Amino acid sequence: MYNRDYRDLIGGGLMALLGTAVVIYGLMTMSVGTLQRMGPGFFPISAGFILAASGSGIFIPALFRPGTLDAIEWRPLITITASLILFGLILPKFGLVPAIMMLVATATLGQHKISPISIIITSLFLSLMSYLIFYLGLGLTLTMARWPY
Amino acid sequence: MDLFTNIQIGLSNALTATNFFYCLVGVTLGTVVGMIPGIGSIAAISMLLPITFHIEPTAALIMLAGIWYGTSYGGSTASILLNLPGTTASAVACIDGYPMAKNGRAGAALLMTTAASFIGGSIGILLLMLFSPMVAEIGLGLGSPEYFSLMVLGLIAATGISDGSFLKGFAMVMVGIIVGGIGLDMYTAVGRYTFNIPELSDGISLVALAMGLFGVSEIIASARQSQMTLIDKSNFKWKAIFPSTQERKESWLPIFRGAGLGSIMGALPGTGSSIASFMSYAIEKRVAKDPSRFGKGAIEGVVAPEAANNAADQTAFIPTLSLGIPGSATMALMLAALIMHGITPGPQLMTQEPDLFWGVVMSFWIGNILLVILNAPMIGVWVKVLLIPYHLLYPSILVFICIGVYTATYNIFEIWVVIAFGVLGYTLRILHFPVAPLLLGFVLGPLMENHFRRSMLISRGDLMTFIERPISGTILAITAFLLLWIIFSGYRNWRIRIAAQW
Repeated sequence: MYNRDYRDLIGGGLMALLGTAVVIYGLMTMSVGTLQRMGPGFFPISAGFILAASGSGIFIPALFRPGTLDAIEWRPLITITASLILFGLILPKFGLVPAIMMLVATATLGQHKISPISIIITSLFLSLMSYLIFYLGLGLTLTMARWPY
Repeated sequence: MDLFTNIQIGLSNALTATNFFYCLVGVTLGTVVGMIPGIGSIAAISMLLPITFHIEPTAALIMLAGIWYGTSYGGSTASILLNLPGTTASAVACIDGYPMAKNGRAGAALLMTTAASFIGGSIGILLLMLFSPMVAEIGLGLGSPEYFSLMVLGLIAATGISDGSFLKGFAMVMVGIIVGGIGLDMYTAVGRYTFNIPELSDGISLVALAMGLFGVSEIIASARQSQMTLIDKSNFKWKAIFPSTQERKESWLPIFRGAGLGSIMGALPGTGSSIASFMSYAIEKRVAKDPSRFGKGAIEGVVAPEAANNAADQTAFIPTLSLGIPGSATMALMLAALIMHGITPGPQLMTQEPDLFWGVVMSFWIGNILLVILNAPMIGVWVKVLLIPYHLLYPSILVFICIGVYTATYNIFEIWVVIAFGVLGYTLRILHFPVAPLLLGFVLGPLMENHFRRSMLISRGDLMTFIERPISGTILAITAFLLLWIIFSGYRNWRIRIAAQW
């Protein structure tokens, strides 16, 4: 318990900032036009304005009340994000099977039970399944594995 | 064309081998997904959305819909057996379902909920078949201002009635509208918020957005949960499965009451199956001769909400398919699946694509029958699904997400979008912002903008057109009342909280 509601202070603040940024960047890059002939900017800039207003509406009352803040699960957040980035980097170069292996291995680090055997079995099983479903079943063009050098 | 010709067209389309296969896949997946706590129907539908690029639109919609109503059947299983609701709508089933399981009546509870789900679903489909043509008829007479007003009403209702703070939901709708506006403007082809990134000029893909927001963020939040479950096997002996005469007698009326209530709630914007099931529980408790049995294993408290949420699942398709206006985020995904196939949802859908419309509707019958077959005799098999360790399950879901988004366009950029929205979704979760309104805003935003701009062109920039046209004005008046009510009840709660602090 904190003496201010930091959760809504952060959330409301982020929304207010995002809304303001949308309005400013929109005004810089697009024409707003008139009601009769609306420019491309009219709708998104209005939405940005309303977003900034609701963000402030969340932010201000949060100043005057106590609140709690959820703990961030850093470990799964980092490992799972990293596993997806690695998949995106490996897939176009080396093909699907190495990408799956890397994803499974990295993503598994996000929790407590880590066993190399289960990683290998899971990734082989998933490679087989995706070959059957996506390649044979749906007829998509996917490179299973290759060596680019 | 009369109803019987339509039924015939629909059945012949729904019963082709391909469509039957995708219906089976949909309902099976739905059952499994509904049971696993944490993965809801939105996540499952968005994961399967990319696959629907590669199959026919009818089959695609049949499968996605199967997942949607299938989760309602499966959702109650986890509630009853483990006291863990698989979906929000089935949270009610915990209150009396779990006590029944502790009394050794789990089998009976599951069988009766399957029956209640089937009856509720059937009533919902009947109403869908009868009312959709009428609603579409009305819809044909509506112009852009009416559609805009209807969408405003839908968005306000969906964010105001759902749980949590209205302002937070409302902010999420705005974020959705802004994100939905990214890309080239449809009238002037000017890039909007594209930051000179060529991939962004096509806009953010719904698939990548939904998978990030609902798939990846969900996995990050739940990766460290370990699934340790203990289920008493004696609950599944034949004697325990068969409901007693008394249990059956006590269930009939509540099932029909629940189905009736659910049908109404499902068709209205904003009130989906969750609210239907909570309300129906409250009603059963009020009309019961002995309300003290509730919470201790009263069968009415399990079957009525279950009938209600299944009926609501089906009638939710009435505004979605006959007007093209989704009442919830999941329905927005269904619409998006149609749009991706180049089909414009709206009142003309029924006359232009009768094969698709009636095929999908008739597939609901097949799906519901399949679900009874899948659920009643095979309860034991599904219970084993609950025992799959999550640390094997979630890497598999991630792989599926990645391949799915990549093959939708064969562009790695989509994976980066998934990651961005995954991290955003997790942040919003930590900050207690609801994510479903964002998706709703994303899908409805471009449609609203189009109707707004068209109305303004026709009325020569006169905003009064929305109020002066009778139907549009009425809808906006309802919206205004709803908004006032939301603000007033929020203010009252705030006053009570302040009073409690003193």
